[in-house]
Amino acid sequence: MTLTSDLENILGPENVSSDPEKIKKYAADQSFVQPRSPDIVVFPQNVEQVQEVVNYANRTNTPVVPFSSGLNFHGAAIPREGGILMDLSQMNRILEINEDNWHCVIEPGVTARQLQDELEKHSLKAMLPAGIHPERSVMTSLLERDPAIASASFEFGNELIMDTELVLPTGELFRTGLWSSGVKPGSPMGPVRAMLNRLWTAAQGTLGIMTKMNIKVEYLPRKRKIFMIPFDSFPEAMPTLRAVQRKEIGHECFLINNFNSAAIACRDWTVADTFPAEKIPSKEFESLRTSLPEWLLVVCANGGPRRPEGKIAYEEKALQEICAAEQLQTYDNPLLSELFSEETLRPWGILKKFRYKGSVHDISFKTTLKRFPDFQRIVMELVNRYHYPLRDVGIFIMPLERGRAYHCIADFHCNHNNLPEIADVKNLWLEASERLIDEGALFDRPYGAWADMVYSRAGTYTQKLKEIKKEIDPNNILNPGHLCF
Amino acid sequence: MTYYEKKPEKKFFEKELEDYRDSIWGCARCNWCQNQWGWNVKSAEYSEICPAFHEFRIFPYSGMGKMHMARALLEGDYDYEDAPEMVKFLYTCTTCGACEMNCQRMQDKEPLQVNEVLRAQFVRDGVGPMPEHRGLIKSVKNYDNPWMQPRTQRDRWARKVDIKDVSKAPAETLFFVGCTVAFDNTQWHVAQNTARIMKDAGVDIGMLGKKEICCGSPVARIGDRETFISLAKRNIDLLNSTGAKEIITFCPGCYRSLSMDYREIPDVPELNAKIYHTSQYYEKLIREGKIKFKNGQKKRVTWHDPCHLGRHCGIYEEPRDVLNAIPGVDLVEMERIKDQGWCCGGGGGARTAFMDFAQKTAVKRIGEAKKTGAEAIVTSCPFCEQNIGDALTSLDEEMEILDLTDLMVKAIDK
Repeated sequence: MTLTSDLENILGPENVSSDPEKIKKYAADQSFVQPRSPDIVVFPQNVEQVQEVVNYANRTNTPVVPFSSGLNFHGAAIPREGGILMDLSQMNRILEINEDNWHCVIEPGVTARQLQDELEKHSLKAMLPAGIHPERSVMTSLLERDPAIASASFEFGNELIMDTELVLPTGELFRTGLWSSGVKPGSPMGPVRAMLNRLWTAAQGTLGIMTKMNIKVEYLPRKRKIFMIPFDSFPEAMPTLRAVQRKEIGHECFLINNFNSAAIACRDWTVADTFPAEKIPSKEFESLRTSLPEWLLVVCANGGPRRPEGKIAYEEKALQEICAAEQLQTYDNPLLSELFSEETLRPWGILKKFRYKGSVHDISFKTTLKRFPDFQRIVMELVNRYHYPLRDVGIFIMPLERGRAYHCIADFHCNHNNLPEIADVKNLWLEASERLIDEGALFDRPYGAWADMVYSRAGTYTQKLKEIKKEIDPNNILNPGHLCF
Repeated sequence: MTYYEKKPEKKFFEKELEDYRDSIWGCARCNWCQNQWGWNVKSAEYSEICPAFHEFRIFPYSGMGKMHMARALLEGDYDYEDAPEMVKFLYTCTTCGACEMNCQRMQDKEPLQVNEVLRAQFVRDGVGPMPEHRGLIKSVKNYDNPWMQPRTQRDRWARKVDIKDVSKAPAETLFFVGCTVAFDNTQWHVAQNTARIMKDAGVDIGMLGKKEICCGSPVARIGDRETFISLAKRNIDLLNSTGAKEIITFCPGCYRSLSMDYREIPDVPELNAKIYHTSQYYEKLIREGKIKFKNGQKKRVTWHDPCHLGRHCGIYEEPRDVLNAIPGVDLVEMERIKDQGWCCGGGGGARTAFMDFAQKTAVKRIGEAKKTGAEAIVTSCPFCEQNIGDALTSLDEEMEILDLTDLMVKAIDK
């Protein structure tokens, strides 16, 4: 018996592939993580098959790497120790949409575009993160704690995951929330009032394979209005950003620099399907990033099913008061306004930035607003030292829960065919990450090299995490080599 | 059918708690039923929006608390005997609708409707209303008014006023006076001013006189649906029989009943006449040039939005337009206005059963009004006028409470 024939017996030959050409695409992504091919790829069709494969892997001590859409960009699904790559993209059903209580049940293969298209038919909206690829798995995105673009709003910024169903590394089926008591999913609180879901977030498939997830959605805004306030520098924008959050203006709110806003507005570029992306030189992009304001504070006020105009009018008035107090003018650009409005619903336009050089290596972290100047100083110092053009740093900053914290994404671009440039950007990225962590930036998604940086600074925590992993996954079969496992 | 296309399957006065199951379970405990939204907050002192929660400081008094109370009753988690305080939680609500305004806007739920349906259930099951309300209901049943006054006294306000009685001569426009203004002689001035302004503007106005009966608003808000529906049916017959093309009302409770609540009763005919609140009608007459203000009067005033006129019926601008049209009147706004306005404390039966609480709520509003530098609070609601007026008296404040028509009549007088 071989690995292939065993798995074919479980899943059927049509759902198993060991064709080197086919498995090559699972070996690498556009990140700095060392490529490695899996030995075999399987395509389970249902949770029972997932369980059977995991049971088999346990019997044979074979690594299993869960994979949903491959659009992670950070190497989370690269099989560091080979083994079985479990491609869950064919489990892509939206099992329930609950219009009254604003939640839906999805499988791992459901993509951002698929979900949003379906929800719109019900006048609902998915809470998608900024920069999600349209073909990326929504479930994975939520598990990886990508903050939703509406995170500024207090009530939507956190805990989008309600109940979950997963296959544990031992092959057992495990459900959290109300699901665990055998009733329909509908609340994160089950018979045991603990948000156990969190154990599996940012775990990169090392602690279980999520097969169903009940997630919160929100109503599709009946009306939306975008406001943009231009700034010449980031420190100038800080008081306004703080005031806007204090006044709770805008359902979505973010601060974006001219590199990223030009990428969104550039009509020469489209969102790539594969990554690293094909580089597309664009004069329009160059012209846009020169002409657009250095920084734009984008605020989207929206109104729900009832009294949408009133709500938007209140927010507009409050924003005008802030602008008047700080002697600011709003920026009028109907095209950009429309694009940002679309971005709040289908937030993948910003991914056009990959067309600049093909590869983007981001540093994403959370912090408080007052710490930003320290972090900005570090990044500028390193950018100068590595002779990386400052104008090529894309920055996107988003308040979380009305400014309690901020999520920042700083991008460094490189041409994936230019090895010296890759090396430079990698060194810059590594050193910047290390320095930012040292200074207190929160890296809550320990991908690739960040894992070592984070876990080496948290000895007791890491030790406990390893103990938990050993308890849950005694044979260490799930995605070994990632995180601290 | 999408989320937006859903139509209410039932009219409000036939709905039961079960019809709000999703809304009740959907309460996210976000607390916006208690607070002004950030974009409207001008100061911490006036950042709240629920008078009952502001006063009693525990959640069952808020919209959110009522949702959870409703859920517990709906699911049988507890019964009336388990929590006798529930009646108090329920009836301290002034039905100002601030919770519903914020909740509908942000979460698309109906805490006030749930509260009113709960009240109806309490009354039906004999648990509610408060003992103080029972006399009011009895009075409405026996005398067709909540003030225990004989029917013969209803038109005393009009003894020296030139206004038609529609039972004797038809009129195009019917003035539905309302019980409080008709029986409370401290409020007669409002009815007299109204008749005077309409007459001056050439409006063919009449009244029902002794035949007028309560619109049913007090009993509807308390939860006695049976009495309300019976009054509504009688009123519809009576009002349609007058042949009036327009009906004007001063009391926001009457206005809401006639313009909104009667339509929410199953299987009753519609009112034939078009319903106006007096402020809407005045604004129309000013626009048409039929009301002309001759006298300037230097007065700094602030407008208090009556909840049943503003949040319940959406009338915010017309009274302000009237005030702004009066020469010399300087309208200054309080922090909490329009759909974020602070209730006077007198609505929903709260003044009847919890006078102290109602007065404390009015005192808060007076403080807010004083901060504007206004000499007078102007409003257009008999209950706001009573409640704020009493609080002003107990505070020994120089500030006045005026009806919109008081300023209008002064400006019209030659």
